[in-house]
Amino acid sequence: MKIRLLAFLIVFVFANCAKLQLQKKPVIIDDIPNWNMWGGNIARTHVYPGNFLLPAEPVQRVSTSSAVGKTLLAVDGMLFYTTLDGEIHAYDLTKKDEIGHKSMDLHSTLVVQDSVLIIARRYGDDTLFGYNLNSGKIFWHINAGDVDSEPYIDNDQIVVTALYKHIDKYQIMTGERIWKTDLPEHIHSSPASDGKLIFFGCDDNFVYAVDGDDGAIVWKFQTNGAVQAGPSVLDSTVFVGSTDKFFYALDSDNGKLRWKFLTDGQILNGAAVNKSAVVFGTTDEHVYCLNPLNGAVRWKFHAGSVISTTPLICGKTIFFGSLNHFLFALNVETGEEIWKFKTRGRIRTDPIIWGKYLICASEDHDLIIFQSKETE
Amino acid sequence: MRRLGIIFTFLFLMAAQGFSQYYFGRNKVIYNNFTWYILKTEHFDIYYYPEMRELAEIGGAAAEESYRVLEDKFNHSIDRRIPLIFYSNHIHFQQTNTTPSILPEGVGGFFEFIKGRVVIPANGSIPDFKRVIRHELVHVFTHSLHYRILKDHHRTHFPALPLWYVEGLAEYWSIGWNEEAEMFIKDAVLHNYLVPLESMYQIYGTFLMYKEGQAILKYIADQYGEEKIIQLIRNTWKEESFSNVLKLTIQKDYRQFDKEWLYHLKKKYYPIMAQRDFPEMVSQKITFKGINTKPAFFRKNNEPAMAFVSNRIGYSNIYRMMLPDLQFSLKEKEAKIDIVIKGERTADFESFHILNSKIDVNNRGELCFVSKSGATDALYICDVNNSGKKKKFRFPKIVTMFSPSWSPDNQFLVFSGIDFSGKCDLFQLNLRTGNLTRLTNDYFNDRDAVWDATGKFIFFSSDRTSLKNKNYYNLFALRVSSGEIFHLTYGAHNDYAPAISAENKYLAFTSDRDGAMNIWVIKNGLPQKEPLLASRDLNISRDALPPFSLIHSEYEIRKITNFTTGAQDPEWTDDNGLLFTAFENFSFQIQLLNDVPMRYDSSKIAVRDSIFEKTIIPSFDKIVAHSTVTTVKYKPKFNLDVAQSAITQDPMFGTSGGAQLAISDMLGNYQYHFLVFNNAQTRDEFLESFNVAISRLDLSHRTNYAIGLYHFAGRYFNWYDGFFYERWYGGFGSVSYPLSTFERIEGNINFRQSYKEWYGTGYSRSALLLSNFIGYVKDNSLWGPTGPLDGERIDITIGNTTDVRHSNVNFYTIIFDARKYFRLSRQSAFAFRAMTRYNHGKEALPFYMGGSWDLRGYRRWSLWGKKIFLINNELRFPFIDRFLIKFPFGGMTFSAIRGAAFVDVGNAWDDHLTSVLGSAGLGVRFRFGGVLVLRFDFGKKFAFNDLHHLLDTDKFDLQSGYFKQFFFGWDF
Repeated sequence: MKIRLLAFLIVFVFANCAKLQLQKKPVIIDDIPNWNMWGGNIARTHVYPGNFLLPAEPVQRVSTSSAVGKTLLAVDGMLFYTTLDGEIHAYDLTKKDEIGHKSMDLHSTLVVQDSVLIIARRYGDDTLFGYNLNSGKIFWHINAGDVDSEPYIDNDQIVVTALYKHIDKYQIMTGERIWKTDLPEHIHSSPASDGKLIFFGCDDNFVYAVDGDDGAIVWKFQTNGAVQAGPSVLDSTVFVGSTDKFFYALDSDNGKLRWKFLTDGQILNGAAVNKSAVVFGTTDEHVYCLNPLNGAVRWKFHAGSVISTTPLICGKTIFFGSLNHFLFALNVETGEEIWKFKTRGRIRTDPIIWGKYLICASEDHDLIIFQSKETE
Repeated sequence: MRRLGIIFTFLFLMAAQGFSQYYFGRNKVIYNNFTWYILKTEHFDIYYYPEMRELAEIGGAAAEESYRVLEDKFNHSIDRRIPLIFYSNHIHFQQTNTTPSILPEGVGGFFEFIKGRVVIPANGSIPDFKRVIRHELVHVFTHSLHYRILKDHHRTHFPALPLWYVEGLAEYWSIGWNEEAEMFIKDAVLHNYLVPLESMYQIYGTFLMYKEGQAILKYIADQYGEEKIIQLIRNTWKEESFSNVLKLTIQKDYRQFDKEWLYHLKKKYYPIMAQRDFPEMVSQKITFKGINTKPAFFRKNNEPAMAFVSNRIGYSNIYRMMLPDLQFSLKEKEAKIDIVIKGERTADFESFHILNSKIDVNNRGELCFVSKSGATDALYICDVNNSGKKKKFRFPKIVTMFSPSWSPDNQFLVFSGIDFSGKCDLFQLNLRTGNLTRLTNDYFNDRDAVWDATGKFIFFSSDRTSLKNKNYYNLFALRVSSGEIFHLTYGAHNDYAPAISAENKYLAFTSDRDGAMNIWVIKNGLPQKEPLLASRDLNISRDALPPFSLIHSEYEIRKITNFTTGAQDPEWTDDNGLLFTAFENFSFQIQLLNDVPMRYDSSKIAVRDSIFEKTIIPSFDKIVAHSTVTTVKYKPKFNLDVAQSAITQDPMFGTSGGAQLAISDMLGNYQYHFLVFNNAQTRDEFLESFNVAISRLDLSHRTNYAIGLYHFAGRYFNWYDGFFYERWYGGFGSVSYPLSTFERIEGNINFRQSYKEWYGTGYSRSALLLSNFIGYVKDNSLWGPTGPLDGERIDITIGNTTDVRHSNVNFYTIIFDARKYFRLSRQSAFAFRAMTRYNHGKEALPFYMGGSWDLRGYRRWSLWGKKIFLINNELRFPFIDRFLIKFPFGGMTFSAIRGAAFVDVGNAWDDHLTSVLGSAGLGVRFRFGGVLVLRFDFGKKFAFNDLHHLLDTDKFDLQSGYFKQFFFGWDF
């Protein structure tokens, strides 16, 4: 009997080790903004409120089982991240300890709202999952098509662009599809929204806007290359880069071109945008800062290698990573380099900030958490 | 014998070159002792020797530029410094130790996976050099990205990317799409030999596969988007087969893609037939077999004839042929040809550079040609009708030469030469005085030089025209007296191979100015009008200009051929015909265009080249010296090449395990091999059963040597000794000196302490053994699908083994192994081998015989003795060209199944040879996967039981049934 109980306990303990479950209610810290989806919000502005003061020191390095995925989320003191070998992890930033992890077998991306974690898998039979963080259980799963982009949640609804030529909206609590719109080509671009329309790029070289209520195509704008970067929306303007080396600013209501800017490289990642700056990186090793009203160059910075992440604006500082292993911080007004940190591998994960923590990851199984001495 | 011990010992000894008795092969001869330096740029370590410093800087700049471009295309970076090893010409490149393989002329560079090295020769053309750098760097990026994708997704079991994709991508992203690729694919479609993706394995590793891969990726980029090319690599973690990866990426698997792609190609190329011609339909085809190029016209006994270069039998030779009339050619048979010079069999004539170097015959019947001859190329002159006596010219500073051409008075030769710095320039040789004059001296690729009829000008093709940041080959004329160079043609197209008819009447050349390589002609004649404004600006008088100069605005260039594919190397006959090489149906054949003046007069396509402004002589970017560029002298640093372990289980000897390690330096000149294994049966035996060996190879100079130490111990078995234990430890030294690519002298000394104990006899002995061997090896064989078909191989080795302390062992060894292959036709041969191995003396070791590799019909190694002899006679012939099995779920194709008919005799003995054994029969050989040959023989065994009565039928035994023997291995 004792042996059986011991065996049961062993099984129970080890079974629970592979689970992602919040045993306690998360500590809700109202005055620290959360980062619960790629880009920080449905407009994908990649701006974190406040100011992160430099220099910062790494206070924790987490060794991961494989390269970390593109998107990091930080909600209520918990850091969520995925790895390319199909693992999902949750990490307590304040206690500096892992909360739990779950294996999805194949690489996924995440978006979280309250206790619901939406898992979008890159490949497989079922590719969209609703996961209850409190119970540690999947409570719905559907085949939404391979997802090579970053979904968003708005008003209990999930919007997902699927690789094989469609965009969909689902109910967050049931996974029930609300609408689906078919497109002519593959979609790698992540959707963004101004609350009414949803914007995204497509491999047929077009930027699309669909109605948020029914998915009907409202307008489309043609570029000369596949649009794989995710757009950003601010002040009735859609900002997006293309593989044709142009960065575009379009009227969000009708898709008309406001301005465009030619670089020397492909634009594969999103842009960070606020009232005075739109910042993006290209494969020509430069970060550009343009005036969002007219596309005039405010400054450009040469990083020495491909800019491989979407920039993040926090206060007066821009953070981004590059393939030569560096995490950079520049002054958003002047483009002057303030600080940089060399990691162990190429950086393909978009850096994020939560409270006084700056988090980034590099390809060589390395998640790094920096702490600022103070924040404003 | 212990299996693991055999494997490891064999590998060790092969690696140490300790024994030469049992293998042949050609030699990689290190003619030049290079002093290496490293130019360190931002991303590269560039290895070069001082004579080519400037070329290394040009290459460095090109490499950094390519890095930027590829970083953008792949969205990926390389985390390590990339070693680039440059050679200034192909002859030096063939001496590289970064690969053990003998490098043929067709290899333009390679990327080697173990150390991540890129090894590239220059060929005299800077644009070609840059293109090859880009090509190889595509491989570096592809390999790095693919490895990363699979590693991150934990999918390391995925097979490698298909070769058509890897090479196609390297071609497409280094060349783009050019007229050469267009020519090959167009020809493949129009002649119905394009291989679909589903069957790409049939042309695995061939040039056609490269071009098809390039075409497929261009199609994917055009139809589906350039980003899909990299998406194919990024999706490899998702699926097990590349066909499925293709389906994920563009929604079409191989079969569906083939249908779409082939349809697209047919729609593109079939309409061309309305406007263009197959070469053989509009000109007279002279040759039909193999590759035939570089025709040179002459008259023999007042009849038209030509000399040319061909590889029709496998070896490249220079031939002569009487030109047949048209009626004869319609029979699609060749006129009788004779070999003038045999190539690729002797050190003097290693290679004629068949696709790159022209030959020439003057009006006295003197043939001039170039051949690789040892460390450099040499220039030869001989009678085209009687090649017995030859004049040979070699120039120490010129490594490679091309396309010699006679002056009208036969006193001079002009040719292209590449020196140590990598420059390809024109040189003039005065045959009376032997003086060599350098006519040009720059990094432009000057080629195809010919004299005009007056001897005042030399016409040539060169890439010194720069338009829109790209170099183009146009035609130029060099005034011999002053060295002044004039444009003849000008434009963003490539013009090659100028040929001038008698009395400077016509200039013919090949050009891709309308998309395909065709023959264009300019007719000479004094201009009636003043030259164009441009010439007035250039301030040159008309009389000072060379004939055919484009500055004369009246000169028209007229197109006289309109081929679907391409023409090369036009050569005038003396009755206004043009011999040329045509590419058609994936072969190069010589054809004849008659009555060229009539074709010129009736041509409807005419253009005029004009210079509207002074041309800017371009320069090539070099990596400039700044903080990220440093130079250091090369010092060997070693890193791991191979580490492998093995465990064996033997029913007799139990379990044993071991490991092997090899390290070498970046240039492959110095190698260390380590071997360790243990075959202890009990714990007590562990230390004394330790087998360990270490050897060091030095390949840096012409003389290769190896030294090593070893300790071997264990239980063994052979049919001669039975079961025995032997422990032997000591050291060895080996030397190999190549006399040429085909011959070498080898020596070996081995000094060891040996303790041997025969089980069940109570007998044991100790000995301090000293073995000395010296040998001569020759190999100029030409291989077919399953073994040699031509040439010969010889191994003569003598040696002695003696116990210098106890005199327990003392025997001498003689090995004689001679193999000759008599070519009967292109695919058949009669092969003969005579071999004897002779050990005589105290404790002389036995040799073993029997089996599919020597005396067929007898069990493998069932015959042994201290002396053996063997005579093999074998007729080798093609049996089945292609054998296809189609299953509902797929198919398999087997090609080059060959047959054999053989008679073998031999035997083994210790003291007296009393009988001769033999066998006769038939066999089938089948090459599987390119590396393994499966063999099946059947026949009858026989024996002459009394050597003194060989013809006595009572003493002759013939096997009543048949033997059948199945094994693997190459033909002898």
